[in-house]
Amino acid sequence: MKVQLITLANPCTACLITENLLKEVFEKTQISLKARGVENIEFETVTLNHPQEIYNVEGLEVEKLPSVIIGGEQVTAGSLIHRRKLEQFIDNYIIP
Amino acid sequence: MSNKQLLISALKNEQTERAAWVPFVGCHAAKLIGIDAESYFKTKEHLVNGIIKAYEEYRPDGLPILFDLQIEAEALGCKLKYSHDNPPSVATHPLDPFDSVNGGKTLDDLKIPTINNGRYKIVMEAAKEICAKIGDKIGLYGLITGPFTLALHLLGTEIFYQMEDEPELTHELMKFCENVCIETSRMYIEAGADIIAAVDPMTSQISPVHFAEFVAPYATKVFEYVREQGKLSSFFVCGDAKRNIEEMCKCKPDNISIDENIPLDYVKDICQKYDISFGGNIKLTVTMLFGSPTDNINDAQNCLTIGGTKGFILAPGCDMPFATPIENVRAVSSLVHGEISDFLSDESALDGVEYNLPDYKNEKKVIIDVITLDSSSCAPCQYMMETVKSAVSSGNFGDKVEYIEHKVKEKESVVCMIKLGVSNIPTIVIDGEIKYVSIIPETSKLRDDISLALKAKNLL
Repeated sequence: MKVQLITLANPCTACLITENLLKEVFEKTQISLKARGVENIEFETVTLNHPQEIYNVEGLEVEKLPSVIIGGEQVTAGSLIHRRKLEQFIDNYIIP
Repeated sequence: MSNKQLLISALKNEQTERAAWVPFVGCHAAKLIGIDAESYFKTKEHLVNGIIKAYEEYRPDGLPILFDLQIEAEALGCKLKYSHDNPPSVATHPLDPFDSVNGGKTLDDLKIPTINNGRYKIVMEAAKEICAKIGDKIGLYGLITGPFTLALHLLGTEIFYQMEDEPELTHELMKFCENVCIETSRMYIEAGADIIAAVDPMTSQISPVHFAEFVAPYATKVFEYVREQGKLSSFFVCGDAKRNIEEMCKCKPDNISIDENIPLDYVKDICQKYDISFGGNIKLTVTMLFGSPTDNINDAQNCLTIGGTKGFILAPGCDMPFATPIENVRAVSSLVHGEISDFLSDESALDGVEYNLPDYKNEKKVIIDVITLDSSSCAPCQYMMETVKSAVSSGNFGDKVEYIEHKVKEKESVVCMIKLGVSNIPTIVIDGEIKYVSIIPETSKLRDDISLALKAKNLL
């Protein structure tokens, strides 16, 4: 199962701050999942070079970046998500 | 009225002869002087040269001295990651309790930065030099990181749970950040800045209730301080912060600046209720970075139509990307200064492009030339075309009147525009005579003008 962070190259200052915070959340979440023995979750950052590339991203419905997509389903659009919330989403996905 | 005075008047929410123009030049200044962003942000001479170059190229009414939301955070112990073509970003949070390597500090460990901390010295020295060189000509903004974004830099995303679980600790942190904002403002004012802008993009991540509780008391104090020093203030937000605009107004800045995520007409309505000026919001990526010069003219024109000339500052939504094409920003400048035809003729490489104007005097009809960007994408152009169509159809002039839209995206239309002596868009020309420049006439008035032109030719 894939957890993706979709970002845009050349972000504005605000998007850059949000993007970096989300990358930190990803790192912390990976550590936490590993500690709990949750495996087979792939974390990936996808950087788009042009807004038109949005249409190539499966699951990206609300065109606001940065965005988080879990298992092909968008969970954030331009907003931050806390580690605890991200883990909850992942848990809900792997344990329906 | 000087450029500086025009900006000051606009910031004070007064009527001005035109909208003020402030391109937010941050790391883009590095590109203007041919260096990478990291060198730019770390070198006083580059900071000065970059802004002076932006002043020369873009003919603004105001500029930020520096657009870097990491100055305070770095001075307080956050490690930064620099980039070749972006502003630096915060990599560690000293107050993060879960970071055993770079975090774990408490507020008692942090001190309000002085001129000798981090890059404050080079920034303030650059500020003094920039203000000395161009401070009499344009308004200069000292940008400070808003208190909530600074708090996020220091604590990281744990702040969102702390607001719920330990609100008193969040208040202490916000109070500390308020004091940092005030001290940084003091330094910028001492260096000569006219306007202090608190840039707080992370407030777009919280609700109006949280904003009112955790941001407003502290931001209000910052703007109060700036006002007491006799200077003007601006509250910047990026992202979808529409729900917080009213709370931002209650903090009493002189101005609110937004990006493309918030509709400009919405912000105008709210700000005018509070007698606050507003600014924005040319699209950064789609238009400024990846669009053409005419796309930029189009977007800026739409902003100007909505913003008007009372208390409005035309600006990009946030700091322009490093690689923003210079001609795109120049295009907006040309629109602001009423020099579109000169700009487009320079840009269009019109050699060999022909357009023959009709012999208006001897034509057996009245010809209406409407110079637009493109009525299908430019709002004021669309309104003007609709008025022309409506005036012609309601006048029952039959085939005695012809109207033609000349879209300056097409080179022939640029030649036509130059030959007619038109310098702004959109414009209505009747039988070769310029009638309405950027003003949409009443349908009845335009119909009367057409009738007069027909009578002059004995066609009515």
